[in-house]
Amino acid sequence: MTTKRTLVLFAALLVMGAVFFLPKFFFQPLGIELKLPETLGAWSGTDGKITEEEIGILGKETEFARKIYSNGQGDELLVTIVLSGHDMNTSIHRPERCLDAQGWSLAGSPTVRVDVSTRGQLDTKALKVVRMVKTGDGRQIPQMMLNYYWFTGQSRTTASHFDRWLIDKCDRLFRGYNQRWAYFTVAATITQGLKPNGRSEAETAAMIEDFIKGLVPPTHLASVKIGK
Amino acid sequence: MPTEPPAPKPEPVPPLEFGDMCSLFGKWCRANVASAVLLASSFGLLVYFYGYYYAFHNGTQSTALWASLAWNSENNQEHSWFVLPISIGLLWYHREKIREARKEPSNLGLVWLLFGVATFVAGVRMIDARTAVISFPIIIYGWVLFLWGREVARVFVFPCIFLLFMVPVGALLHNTVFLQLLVADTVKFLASLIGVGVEQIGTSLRASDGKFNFDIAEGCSGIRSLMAMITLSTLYVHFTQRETWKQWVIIAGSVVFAVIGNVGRIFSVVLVARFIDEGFAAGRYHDYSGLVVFFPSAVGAMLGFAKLLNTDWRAVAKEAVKPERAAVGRKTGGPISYDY
Repeated sequence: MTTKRTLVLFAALLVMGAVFFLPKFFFQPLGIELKLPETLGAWSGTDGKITEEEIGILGKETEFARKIYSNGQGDELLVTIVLSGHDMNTSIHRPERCLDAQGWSLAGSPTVRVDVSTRGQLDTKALKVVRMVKTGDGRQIPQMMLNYYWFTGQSRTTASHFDRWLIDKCDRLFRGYNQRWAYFTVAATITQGLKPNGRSEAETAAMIEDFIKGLVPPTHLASVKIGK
Repeated sequence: MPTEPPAPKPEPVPPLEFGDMCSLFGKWCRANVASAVLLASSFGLLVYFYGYYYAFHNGTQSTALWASLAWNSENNQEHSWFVLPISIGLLWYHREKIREARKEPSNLGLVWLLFGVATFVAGVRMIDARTAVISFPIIIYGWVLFLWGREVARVFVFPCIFLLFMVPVGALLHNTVFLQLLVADTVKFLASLIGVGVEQIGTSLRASDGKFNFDIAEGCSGIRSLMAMITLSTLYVHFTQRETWKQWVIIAGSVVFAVIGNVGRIFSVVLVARFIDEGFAAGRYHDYSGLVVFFPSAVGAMLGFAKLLNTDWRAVAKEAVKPERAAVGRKTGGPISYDY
């Protein structure tokens, strides 16, 4: 081992200092309107509360919009948009984990394609979760919920965490920009068995998908390509 | 005609001890002050960029800090704490090979080195600490190849690859629902075989008589144990298997070993809950069943599979014929004779 070689080694490692000269990121304009419509067809919404825990866990730059929609027939939908800050890692957590922490267990997570006729085919992840609840007479019965989610960036949507991660990395590395992703969730309880004339799983899924068809146009800017 | 006396056998070199190594290194440093200073500075650069350059999590975490925080139970990555010490241990184990290897510096090492440096810079650019962690073994390999050459670098290949187990992958391998459901389905089936009534709701298992209620959480899906099992299998094949295809087959089998171990573990939790006590099953037994049931089952499956792979099946087939003859011999009380 010669001094010359160790000098070359040292010089090569000094190249790591290139990190100090990297150009700053610029941020892409948002692809969404961070505002949920007051009414959507037969649904009318009231503002939902963002819990202190959510605010505490997620990064300071994270922004929210939440509404609880009801249709006058006893059905309710919980709709949330979480808009990430500059670092996605501190802003958005996948619902598979959050729901688990809330006592729900997963019963399925298929990808469901929703036909937003005017805009394209939106891929969503449809989580089916279940937990045991106590009835008034002390019995334990299963309560099921469907939770649809997807991510919307500056110009595209995806239901996959991995795809979103990959898009982010490529954008930062090759284009030098950062995206603020919006994470949409639409959730409803499957009320069959819980109340008279409750909705079955298929009916609940159809209700949510129908709502999403109406939700996408007013919340997604025209620059966003829906689906692949 | 006088013959030459036989050449004396070379004295066996005593094995290198830690003290010898320190003393040799000290001597080398005194003789090559400039190189020693440059080596120390290079090492310092690595420590600085990986340990004290806060590029991640809004500029609050360095690569090392981010990785160490990610080596937690939530990511099912606790085993990563052992990876660096094991890699160093592997190098120590192979120290004689390193000593005996020819030291012929290779410029190819510079290519690897710069590739590793570029990977680190790309990791910072992408705000992706995972990529920055991957760059570390690449830099180490390039460093060794550049300064000491191919033979020494060959010894470093496995420890460097092993360092990749430091990379947190739990968050990427998140889609474990199918594994959770597979474990729940199998445990329900096994319970029905022995007459324990279990209702399955999603990933939850509930006794028909309401005596217990468990959820197959993400950590129980197999991902936690899968990563640990792959790490363990990689080490195992490094020391025991010579053929590359066998090494890969056993590592690939880790998925099956982990599922077998997990099914055994969850099933045992259900049994303890049903026949002993639900509180004990969900508490202390659940926490320790990984050690008591999972690892013996999974490691047993791995060792059994390796034995199957290494069995000389032709010899077994021959042996399978022999016992019939031996049986005849035993029956007649003496050696078999066809000379009637």
